[in-house]
Amino acid sequence: MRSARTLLATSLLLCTAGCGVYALPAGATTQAQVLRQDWMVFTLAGLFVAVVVFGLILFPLFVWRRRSNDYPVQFSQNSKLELIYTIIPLLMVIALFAVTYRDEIIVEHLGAHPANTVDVLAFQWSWRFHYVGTAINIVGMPNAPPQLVLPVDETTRINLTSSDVNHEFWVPAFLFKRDAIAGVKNSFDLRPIRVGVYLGRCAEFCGFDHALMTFTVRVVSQADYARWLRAGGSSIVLSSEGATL
Amino acid sequence: MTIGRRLFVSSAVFGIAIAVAYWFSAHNPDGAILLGLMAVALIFAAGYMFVAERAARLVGDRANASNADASGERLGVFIVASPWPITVAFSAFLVLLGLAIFPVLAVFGLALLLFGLFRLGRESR
Amino acid sequence: MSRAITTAPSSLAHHGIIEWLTSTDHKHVGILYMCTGIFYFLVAGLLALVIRAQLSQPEMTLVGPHQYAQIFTLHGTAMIFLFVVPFALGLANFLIPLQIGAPDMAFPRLNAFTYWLFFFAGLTIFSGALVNGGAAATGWYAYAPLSEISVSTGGGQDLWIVGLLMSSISGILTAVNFITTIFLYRAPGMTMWRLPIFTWEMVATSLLILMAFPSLAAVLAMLFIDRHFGGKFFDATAGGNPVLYQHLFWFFGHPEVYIMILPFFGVISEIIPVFSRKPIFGYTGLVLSAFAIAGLSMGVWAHHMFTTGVVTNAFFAAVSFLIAVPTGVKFFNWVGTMWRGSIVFTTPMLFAIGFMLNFLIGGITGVMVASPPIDFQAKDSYFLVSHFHYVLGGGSLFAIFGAIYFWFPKVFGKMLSERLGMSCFWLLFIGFNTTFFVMQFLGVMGMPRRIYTYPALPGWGTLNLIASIGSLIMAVGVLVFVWDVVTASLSRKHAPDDPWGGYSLEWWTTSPPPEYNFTSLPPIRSERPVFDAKHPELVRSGNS
Repeated sequence: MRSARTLLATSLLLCTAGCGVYALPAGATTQAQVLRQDWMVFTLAGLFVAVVVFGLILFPLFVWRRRSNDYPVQFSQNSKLELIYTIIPLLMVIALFAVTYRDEIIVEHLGAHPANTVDVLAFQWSWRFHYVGTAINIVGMPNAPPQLVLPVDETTRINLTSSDVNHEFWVPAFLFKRDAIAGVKNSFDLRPIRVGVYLGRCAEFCGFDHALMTFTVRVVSQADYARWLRAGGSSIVLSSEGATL
Repeated sequence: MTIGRRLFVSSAVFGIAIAVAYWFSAHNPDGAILLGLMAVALIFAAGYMFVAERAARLVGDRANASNADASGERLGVFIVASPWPITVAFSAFLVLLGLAIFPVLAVFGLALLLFGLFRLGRESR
Repeated sequence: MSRAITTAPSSLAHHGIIEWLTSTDHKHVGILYMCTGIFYFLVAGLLALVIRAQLSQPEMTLVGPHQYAQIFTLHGTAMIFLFVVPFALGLANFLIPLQIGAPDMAFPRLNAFTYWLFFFAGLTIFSGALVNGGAAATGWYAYAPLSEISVSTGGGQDLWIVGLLMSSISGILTAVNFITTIFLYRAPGMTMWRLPIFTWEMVATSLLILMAFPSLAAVLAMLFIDRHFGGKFFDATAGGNPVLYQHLFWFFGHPEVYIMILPFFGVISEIIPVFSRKPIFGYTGLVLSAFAIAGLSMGVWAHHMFTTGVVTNAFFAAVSFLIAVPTGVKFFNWVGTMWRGSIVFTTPMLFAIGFMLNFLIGGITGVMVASPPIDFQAKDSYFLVSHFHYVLGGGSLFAIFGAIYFWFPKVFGKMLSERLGMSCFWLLFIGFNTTFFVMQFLGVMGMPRRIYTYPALPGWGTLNLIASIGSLIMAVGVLVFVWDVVTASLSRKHAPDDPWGGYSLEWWTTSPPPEYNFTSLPPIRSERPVFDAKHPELVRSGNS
């Protein structure tokens, strides 16, 4: 019993370390929670492999340094060993693929009835957010980044495309990005879980002002969101602020 | 089958297999066509290997061959210098540069290219 | 050697610049390739220093957005197309005929032609900096529609396309030459299963070039047609498809990654056995793993397109994961070679060990980004920048330095200094890891690649400053290397024919090798004929 508890505590500690290692943002959507799990599994597996293989590389360097001019035994194969070190990595990647496959399906799942839909248009070098079913159109400029307002704990469907070159919609706190390509409509769901302001930006190089193609995502309470919609997108009505993340 | 032939034949078989697997899992024509064309190219290469290796007397493939076994074998003509490779490369450069920025260069380059290729061909006969 | 070689007398001068311009000797061509590659490495390295200076602090204004885009485009293009690949081809040009006991490449004139085509390709790409509008500024993969004439109007983009087209043709012809030479020109007894590992890796590399480069040539030609002859291949408003560009480019672009690493797996597999005084462990597995990597790498191109939303991510993730298996096999082969060996830390061996340590991090982060859910955060971020620099910088570059220190005596007949070599290694190793390890954190925190400026977000300034300091340490390491090469070249001391106790045939002949390479050959009865000839008492002393 005690050993089980120790094991649990150790593995929890390792998991925290695994993510702490990468200073990964906490994940501000339900989708991001799943993505964060994926990071955790891969980081831990990676650390494990790193420790084992670093050990295997460094061990001979310390133990079998040249001390005499004699030649060591000239062995060059061991079929059983070779089979083992082919199969173990194979099993590992199969397991990792299973995790990946499961998580990707959850993240990319499109709900049948999203509460809100926003058409996002990327262009050189800013964004247009159009709230479908309303007259709200938020257009930004390179030095005046637009703000995407989303309700907390509600699913919002994003339909993403570009009017010129390739762009990429990235909100680091959501651990998620998706390409905006002319002629392609990309849809995904976001379900924020924390009120706050999050930075977003274009991630695909799209020309000289690519670095300035930013935006913010403001996640507000559902009441605030309803008020904001009624006010035609005027941000004066928003009360809950939250921290910028 | 020599290793050279086996290499290209198995690569071509692999190309066909992965093209089919890709088509049935992704239903994407772009990638399936690319993989299919890759397989076709490999089939051509495999065919060439059959012809080339039959013509050659590969003393290198005999595990117990000694240097004496290779006596009398003619490896071919090896030259140490020729002005024509650099000429052909330079004229190809002129043709492409001409297409990109200054068409007159392309005409001049084409003339030089044909001359260089002609001399190269005559030299290596 | 009793094989008949007909030599054609040459009327051309035997010394000076004319000899270098017209030589078709594979050793000259190889040296030209490698020196040109190193030249572009120094140029692209300087560009990298400008990048690190610009990013050392938030809101820097050393260069503007326009210059910055040109700088990172030229840095990437030069490092990939004008340094790592040509260096690998040059090394192979020098070594393949020597390692298989042949007098030259199968097609010497074609060989010289491919070098000169590459030479003019480099000039073409960099000449973009002189034309109106500046050099290409769309990154090394130049996604359409960004690279279309409507957006990138300058001639620099055209010169970039033409330059890469020339280098891709040059690469294809070189691959044909390598394959023909290796299959048809082996010395008596040098069967395929006795080939040195480097030569085997070059068979796999050449095969990959033949499969992948045509796609590059095609996409460049299509882009050129779009730009100048009214094509609409990648124009979505006219029925074209921007995603097609990505398919075609990455169908070449991912195998390219392996074209840039397989030759260096070969280099490492030559260095480690010699300095462990043992044969390579698991020869057959090592060879088969090279072909497994080559084959699988043809089926992973769209893992660069996970976020496009129009590819089947699961297929590409699965095949990408599988590549980790043969790559892992290679690591275990190297460990097995060192196991119970007699290891000595020369400069080439240090670089080989550095290669393994760095490349392992590159490999692990590579498996991570091959998982789409992780790629959704890591793609186009500094996490990815860190990953591929661990593969190409920590991997290929370290192997290149290892190769230079290993084969310099053979190529030029002069020894490089062990003392300077070790300082060079430690500076590069520490500098490299300082620069690129912190980039993983920057990436997950949300810093995208290819931005010329960034706001003062918490931690960003510090981490970027650390990376920039690391790049300076690397620069000092490279200066030490340049100094080493200069002093070694000027020294009068001659290198012995076999300074390391080498295994393969290049160590049998003189340093540097004569015209037509060999005056005699030892009997070839295993993959290390020189070792067998010098240590007959150890032959067959046990395959455990």
